[in-house]
Order: sequence, then structure tokens, then C-alpha cells
Amino acid sequence: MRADMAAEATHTDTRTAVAGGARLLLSGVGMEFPQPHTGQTLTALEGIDLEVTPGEFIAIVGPSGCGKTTLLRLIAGMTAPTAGTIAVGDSTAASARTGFVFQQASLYPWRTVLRNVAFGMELRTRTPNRHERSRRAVRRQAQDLIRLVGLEGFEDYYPHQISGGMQQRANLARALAIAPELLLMDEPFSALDAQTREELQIELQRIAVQTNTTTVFVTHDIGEAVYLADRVVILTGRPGQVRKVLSCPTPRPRPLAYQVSDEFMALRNAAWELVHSN
Amino acid sequence: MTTSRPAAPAPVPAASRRTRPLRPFGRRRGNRVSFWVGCASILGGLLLWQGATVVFHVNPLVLASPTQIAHAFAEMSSGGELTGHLTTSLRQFAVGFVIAGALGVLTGLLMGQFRYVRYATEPWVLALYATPSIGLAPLFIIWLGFGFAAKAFIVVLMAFFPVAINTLSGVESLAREWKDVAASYKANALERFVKVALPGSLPYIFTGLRLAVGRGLVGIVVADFFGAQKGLGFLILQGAQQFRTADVFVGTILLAALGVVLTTFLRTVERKVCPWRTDAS
Repeated sequence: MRADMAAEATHTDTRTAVAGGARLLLSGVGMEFPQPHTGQTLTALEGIDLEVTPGEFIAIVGPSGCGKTTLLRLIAGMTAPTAGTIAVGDSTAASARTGFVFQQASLYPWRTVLRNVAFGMELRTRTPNRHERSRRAVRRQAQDLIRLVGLEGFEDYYPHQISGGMQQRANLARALAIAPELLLMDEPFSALDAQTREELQIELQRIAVQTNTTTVFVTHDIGEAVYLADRVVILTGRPGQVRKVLSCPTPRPRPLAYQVSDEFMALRNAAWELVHSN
Repeated sequence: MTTSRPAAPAPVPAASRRTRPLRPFGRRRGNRVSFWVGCASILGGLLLWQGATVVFHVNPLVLASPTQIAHAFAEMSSGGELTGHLTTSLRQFAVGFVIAGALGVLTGLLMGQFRYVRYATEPWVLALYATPSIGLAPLFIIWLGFGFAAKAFIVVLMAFFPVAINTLSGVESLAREWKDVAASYKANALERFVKVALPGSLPYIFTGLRLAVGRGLVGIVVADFFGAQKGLGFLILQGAQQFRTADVFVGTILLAALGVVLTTFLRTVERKVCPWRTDAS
């Protein structure tokens, strides 16, 4: 374990600004894409009904191409679904405060770690109060988040100067910086080496429990889904539909040893069967 | 040079292993070597030139030797004649270049950000870029007179297109993830413009500006050819008409030096404005 990881464990009580999670409600959500040339449509998602309670951690798995990422983009309000509705708390997906952690290095290379974390806070839609958008206010808040994800001392580094794991920490801090009602993560650890992934899984659990943010986590790693989530949503192949929702009863955060427990094994095997039985 | 860049924050010991050094040493040393080799090459070229004019008894009306050029340079600069030409041309260039840069960046960004702006302007930009627009210079002299305005305008016309077109490719090359982040954080159009499109395409903008320097300098010379009382282009034209080849070279060398200085200046500015690119090797 790296020394900066160990040092960071002492900063557990730094964050107070996170508002806590909202309820997420999907009813009959479907998505069709017009196909070029043929004039036909491709149905990516169909009839998705899902309720995520405040503070819950949901993982979405499914065969590749089943529309996991599409579903996440719909929840984020980046695209509108062609059928059904999505509600985040009292608002719609298009206006909700959602933090998004992307798979690849999506940090802005021209911004330092600190200013990347501050990005969401600088936006008018996120921070309507002009005073709170001021450089100083934003900087102070961003610093808190950087501490939370264990990146203290790297505020003024540019993304290419830090490792992939640290970049994803910064990504997570940026998502949390807007005090999201909903945290969406699209295979955030898939590009990391196994050891870094494990470290970040533990970190993410701690942060998710501490901030009590409703989280939707998309992954192709079934073990990761069972390890992290309260419930694992298994989608079918295209068009993506909810095949089954598995509950993982052990309270979070879970120790690494959970991954050798009977409950974990049983759930993972069950999920594996469901994903691969098409 | 080493002190001008911001120092890295003292890294946590365990992390320094993971962090690349901010200033790769080899590259700096490489720069120094390339500088001296370049100097030696230019010096060698001048010596060959001088030697050839002496050995082959070249008529100075046809080709002036470096020493003759240096002599002409000294003569003109001591009389203050050269400063007059230089400042006239510089002023025309500066005004034209600034206008072209600002307009070019704005046009490129708008074309890249808004589809309909692009549909409407792209045929114009591409057609005019391909047009040898310098051929239109006499027209601008007719419209705007022999004075400052026409010359600055010709510089604008020459420098605008490389800036606009490079800015557009900068916006087009923005990583999809960068736009996704802005979209997922629900940035509005202005914020996406200012916080993503502009900084993300800065490297391309600087490439465009560097290309524009060369074209802008061509602009001032050619503009002078169609009527002027002062300016580096006028100096060259007059030198050629009076068979004073040394004068032609003085003007040309000054223009080349101007190009080098301005391009180097732009590189320095780029390094300041885009510090994240400097240490990406």
C-alpha cells in the first residue's frame, strides 16, 4: 500500500457539504437510436423500471453492448430517453445535480487537479449564487474534496503528471464537488491495474458511506459489482431490459475479506449465471 | 529560463516515484545542442556565400555578398532610414495581425461550436483561403487608398484564414470525454465555449497564429509593392528597381528576422498560456 494512501486515512471527517442522496426513479425507460442509411431504429433499452432509494449503491452489469452506458447517460440527463420517465428526487434527469465519473481520463489537461475538481462548482447551473462561484470559495471547497479522496499535495499538478489511479481520484472529487444528489460512475476503475483498483474500491466505499450519496455504478466486472453494491441490477442483451435485481445484504463498507465470503461467492455465481444465460 | 517556470509543489515522498519530473533534462540539453548546430550551419552558409562571390567575381548588381549587405545595413540604420521602414511595416503588421487573430479565433470557435454558423461560413472560408487573395491587394488599394488602412487590411486578409481554420480544427479535435463532462455537469453554451472549446483548442490556435505570422509578413511586402512611400516592401521594391541588390537583401533579412522573432515570441506566450503542454514530452 502506498504511503499517500495510508496518510489519507486520517482525513475521514473533512467533508460536510455533500447534501446526501436523492431517490432515483425510472419508469418504463426505453431508448431507440435511428440507424443510419437503413431508416430502421435500434432499440438499446426497453421498459426499464427501477427505484433506487436515497443513499443506496446500485451496480449495473450485463453482457457487453446491452446499453449500460446508454442507461447511465440517460440518468445523467445527457440524452433524453425515447420512452418513459426518469426522476431524480423532485426534479427531472435533465435538471438534477448529478456527478459523473467517466471511464477514461476525462480530466481537462489544461486544468490542474484543483481546478479540475472545481470545474463543476464554477458552472452557473451548479452554483447559481455568484458569490459562491468566486475563486476563493471554490478553491476552499475543492481543497476539502481533494483531501477526501486523498490527493492532498497534488492540487497544482496537471493530469498528465499524476498516475491513472490518482486521476480517477481527482475525477471522483470533481463529481463529488457539486454535492451531487446522484453519483454516476461508468466503469471508473476498468483502466486501472488490479492493485490500484482494489485501493480505489475501498476508498469509494468509504466515501459513498460517508457522503451517503445515491450511487449508480456501471461495470463489466461482476465481482466488483457484488463487492460494492447494495443491489446488483442485471441487464439482458440488446435490447437491454432488467433481467434480475440481486440484493447483497452485508452492510457497506465491506472489508476486502468479503470477497472470499460464502455470501459473496454465491451472489457472484448467481450474477454470473444471469449475465451469461442468454 | 529555469527560474521562469513555476516550481512544482514539494511532492509527498511516496508519490514522487510516480510523478514524472516537471522538466525533462535531456530535452533542454537537446535544445541547447540544436541551437548551436543551427548557428554553426547559418555561419557556414554565410561563409560559403561570401566565398562564392569572391571566387567567382559575382557582379554586385546581380548578387550582393554578405559583407556588402552588412555594409548597406549599417549605412541605412545609421541614417535612421531603416528604422522608418521598419516601424511603418511593424505598425501595419501589428494592427492587422491582432485584428486577424481575434477575428480568426472567434470565427473558428463559433464555426466549431454552432453547426449552422459553420454551414453558412464554411464555403466562404474555404473558398477565400484557397484564393490567392494577395491578388486582390490592388483592389484594396483602390478602395482604401495608399495609406495605413489598406495595408493593415491586406495583413488581416492574409492572416485571418490560417487562424480561423486551425481554431476550427482545434474545436473539432476536442476529446469526446471533455464535451461529455461539460454535458453531464450541465454547462450552458457560454460555459462550454469559454471553459472547454477555447482552452481545449489553444494549441491549435497557436499553430494558426504562427502560420499567420508568415502570411501576414507576405501581406505587408506585397501591399507595399502596390504603392507606398515607406515600409520594408517599399525598401525591397526600390532596391530592385535601382539594382541595389544589397538593399533587397537587407529588407528580406529583416523580414525573416521579424518572422523568427515573432514566432519565438508566440512560442513563449504559448508556453505561458498552455503550461500543461510544456512538460508533455
